[in-house]
Amino acid sequence: MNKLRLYFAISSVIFLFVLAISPLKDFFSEWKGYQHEYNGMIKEMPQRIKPAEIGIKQIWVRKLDKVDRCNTCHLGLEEKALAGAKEPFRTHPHIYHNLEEFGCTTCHEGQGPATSYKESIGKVEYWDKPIFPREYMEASCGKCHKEQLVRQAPILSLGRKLIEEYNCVGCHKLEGYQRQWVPSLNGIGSKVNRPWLVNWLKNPKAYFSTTKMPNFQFSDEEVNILADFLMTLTSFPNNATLEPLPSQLVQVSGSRKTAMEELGSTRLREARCISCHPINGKGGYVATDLGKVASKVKQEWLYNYIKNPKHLQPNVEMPRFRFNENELAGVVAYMKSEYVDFDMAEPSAHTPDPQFYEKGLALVKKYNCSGCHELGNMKSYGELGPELSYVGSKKMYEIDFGQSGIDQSLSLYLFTKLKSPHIFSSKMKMPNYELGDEEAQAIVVALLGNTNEPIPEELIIRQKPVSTYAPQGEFGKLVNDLACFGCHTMFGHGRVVGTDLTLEASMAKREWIEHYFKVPYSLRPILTERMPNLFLSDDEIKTLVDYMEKVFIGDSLAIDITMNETTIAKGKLLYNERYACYACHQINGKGGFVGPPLDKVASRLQPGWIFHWLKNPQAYKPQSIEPNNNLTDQEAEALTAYLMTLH
Amino acid sequence: MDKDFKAEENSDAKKAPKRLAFIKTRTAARVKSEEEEMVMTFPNLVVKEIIAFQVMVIVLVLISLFVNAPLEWIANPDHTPNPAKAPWYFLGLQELLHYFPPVVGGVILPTLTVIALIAIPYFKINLKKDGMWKEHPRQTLTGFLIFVGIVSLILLLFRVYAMLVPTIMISAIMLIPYVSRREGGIVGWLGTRPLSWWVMTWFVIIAVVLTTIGTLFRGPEWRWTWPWQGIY
Amino acid sequence: MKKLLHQLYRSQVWRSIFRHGLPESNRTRAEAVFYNFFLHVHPTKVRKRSVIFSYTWGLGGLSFGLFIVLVATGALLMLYYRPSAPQAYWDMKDLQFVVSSGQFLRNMHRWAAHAMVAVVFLHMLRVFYTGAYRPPKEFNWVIGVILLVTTILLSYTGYLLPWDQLSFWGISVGTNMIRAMPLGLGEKVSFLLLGGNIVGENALVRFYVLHCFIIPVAAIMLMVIHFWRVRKDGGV
Repeated sequence: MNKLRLYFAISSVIFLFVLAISPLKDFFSEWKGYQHEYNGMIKEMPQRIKPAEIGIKQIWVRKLDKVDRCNTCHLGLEEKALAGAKEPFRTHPHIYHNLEEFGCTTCHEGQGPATSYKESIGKVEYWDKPIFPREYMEASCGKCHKEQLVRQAPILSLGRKLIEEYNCVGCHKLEGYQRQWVPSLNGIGSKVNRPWLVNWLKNPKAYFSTTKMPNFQFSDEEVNILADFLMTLTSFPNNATLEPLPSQLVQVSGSRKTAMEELGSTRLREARCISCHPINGKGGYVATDLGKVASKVKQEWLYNYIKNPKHLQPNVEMPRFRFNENELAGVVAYMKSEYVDFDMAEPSAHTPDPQFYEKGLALVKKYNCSGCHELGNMKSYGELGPELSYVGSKKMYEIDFGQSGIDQSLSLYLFTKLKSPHIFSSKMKMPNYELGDEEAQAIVVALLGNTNEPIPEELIIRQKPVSTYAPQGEFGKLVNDLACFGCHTMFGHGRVVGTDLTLEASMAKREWIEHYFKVPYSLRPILTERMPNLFLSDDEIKTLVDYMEKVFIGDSLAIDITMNETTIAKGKLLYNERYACYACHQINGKGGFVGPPLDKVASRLQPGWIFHWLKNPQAYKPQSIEPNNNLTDQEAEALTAYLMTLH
Repeated sequence: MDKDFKAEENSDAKKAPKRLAFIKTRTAARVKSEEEEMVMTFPNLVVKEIIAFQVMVIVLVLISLFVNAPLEWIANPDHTPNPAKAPWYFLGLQELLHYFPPVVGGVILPTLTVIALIAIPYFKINLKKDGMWKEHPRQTLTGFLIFVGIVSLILLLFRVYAMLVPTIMISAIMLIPYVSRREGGIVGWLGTRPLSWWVMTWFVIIAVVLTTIGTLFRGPEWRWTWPWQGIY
Repeated sequence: MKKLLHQLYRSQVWRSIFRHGLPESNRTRAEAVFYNFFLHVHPTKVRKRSVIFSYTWGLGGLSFGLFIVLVATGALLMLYYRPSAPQAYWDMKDLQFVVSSGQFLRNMHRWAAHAMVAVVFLHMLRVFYTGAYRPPKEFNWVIGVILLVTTILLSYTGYLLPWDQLSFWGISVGTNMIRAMPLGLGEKVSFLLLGGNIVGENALVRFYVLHCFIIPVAAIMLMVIHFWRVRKDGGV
């Protein structure tokens, strides 16, 4: 009986004790420790900072219906005085968004509701969105900012640009990206030499180091079959045919040949082909390398192509230079003699597979060549690879990591997949783009922003609809023939290699524009992409400038400037003293090299343009680095008056 | 055989407790009143109950302090985990589904089990506590062998080795008292086990084996995996 | 001190609650059981044999003890739980992160539930192997079997409530078994149970009501009968 009492006593004591453990654990929780530490820390500081009330704190992000409790421990997020404090108390660096409205995990990821370090970081089992490392942070911007260019997120913007440039939408379903123009394969058999094609298929970057064409890692057998198949594609789009080479190009020899080549060399330089085409890696970036082009393409094709590019490659953005027959022959002859690949590996002899056509067609379908290249009537479908619209919300259990042995994280998976596409399974068809670490990282950032989180429509900033501006009439024909959109933007349409022409007539004077077409000198000597000389006739120039004066004009930009001694003197003073414009601009050989020289600015620019530009440069050219000095109207007018004296 | 004693049947439980006894030897029926030693409920029983409850709670608390209840990803109807498992007490059933068509494994067998369990006290066979080989051993053996043979054949047909092996082992043990007929020791004790005891033991062993296999030895696609290859 | 306690025991308030004296004599001990609502299910005297632990292993009592633990922790958990998708899952996270001892409560509830299935099953085995189902207790055995089924159902309906992958697919697998019922009955029964063709929010609400109200009430009634019968048939 007494024994029973003893057992009863013991078990009762233990019973009460174990029941107290869990409340005690709560009492001494991690977050309380941080809050006490914070209160202790701010007491020592000279500034008066409001101490934290002990208790769990949270931000309820109403629009996204989620709760973040990070501020339970991160107590100094909005205390300016704590910029140098240790974590977790440090001030948050400048935030573009209101903390109360967006919370923390909207940008940082991690497990918002958690109240312990380990759980909130989110690197725990069954939580697939651990906190973003710094280099992937910008992915979160992409959740709402769906425009191509997000100014404060350079990595994200780069990633989006790369996704577009590499034409990922050729194989993957992904909203918001334009398909890129890629040379048509129709007629390739009449265009290239087979040895070049074999080498190209094996490793495109060996020929052109910055090509967007990826390495498909074909086997030698596949390369031969594909080359044989592609060489059968001899007819061009729209039933175009090749004109025979002119007689002066075929029969010429000796000193006449040298003279012809010299003419070609001069025209080639004047036409500034190098603005778009690199030559052995040096030069522009928008078009293919010409350094070894004579070994790549047949001479007949080259002659026909330069004569009328869009005839053989509709939609190509190459201007039709106004060469006469002699000049044309010279250019082709020069290229033929100069741009040869002397080291090109001769492919080993082979006998074509008797079924090469069927097998080649099967390979073309398997690797989805028509995803990028036009090829007969083959559909270009974007569903060979997995859809990427919500790739940022992929769960770990949806991913097959294979035998790769990498850490199970989505960002690392995507990065590894981009760098070595076949690592997770040898059956994968994705080609190798041979991306650098930074490029791959940028693409991952852009992809991670594609989530299926329920974000209310009012928070999403969409890409502005693509401009469909297409000029008509004589001007339109010229713009198409000269491929102006390949470098210039007009009313939101076109590339931004050169200037935006939308307000050109408000900006520049007619005489200057006309002169510029004839002698396209460089405003900024440091640029590589310079306006080519298109050898236009006076009539053509008149058509162009007439149209520009009617259309490329902003009515509100024209103003009258009072030119008198006082304003000019005041403007000069502002130029030299107050705003020190010479730090970037040159006048009479004095000043910096960042901006264009202002020597003859009065004969180039309209006064109204200068005035408005000075008031707010970014309004006209968002990426301009010209500072916005918040000039008053009087200051801008004075500066304009001064600049208008520089003829 | 003449009956010496006729059981009285009366629906009034108060007057005639429904306790049947077959007294075979020629002795006068008499009620033996047992004088059992009694103790006070308080504190003897009550305190023990409280201690038992406390110990149980202590064990539970200690487990709960150190082992967290699982919580996986949020439910996703679009993604079936591989394998998708029911809670552990249904894994025996799920294992059955692996062998038999769903109607048999998911409906008929569990229903039969519950009915059999309910029927146990109403089975005449339970009333005599005799060992199964006590009376008519030869006929019993024939029936037993035919039954075991049919069951084994069905199990073999469906390749249910997880059930076949325990069935054959238990049948073999059941046959030991028939062969040896020793009175004492384990064999003697086995000899006194009635048929219902064997059936229940068979059921429990099968249930434990199937549940263990389902819990520890089944991986993706319900393939056989060893516990050290990962428990799914 | 002793005097003070004695005064307390003799005070009217005390006497109004406990109508018997301190259990110091056999009479007061008997009264302690007799006058106490919770203890009166027991007789005042029991056979010495049945007090020995290994006689029953206390499995029936432990099952009831686990049920008490489950009701207590379950009621507290209900305070923090919303049976809707996906809030149910986030409530689990909140239990873990912000509710005082929330994770502990959930752990207790979870492990006690698993333990109860096992203990009730063991209790059935004990009753079988000691032959305690023989007349006149045969119907109590039947109630016991039904209680075992009820326990499993309680545990199973609770399995869905956390709304994670484990629970969702555990329930999906189980309800797919029901679908195998012949005569087209399977589809109907599973539709009734899930409130739809697949496990969804309707199923969550149904399982919640089953788990927190219908099955527990049924279990309590069966338990009352079970205990009452045990006592009437001469048990403790």
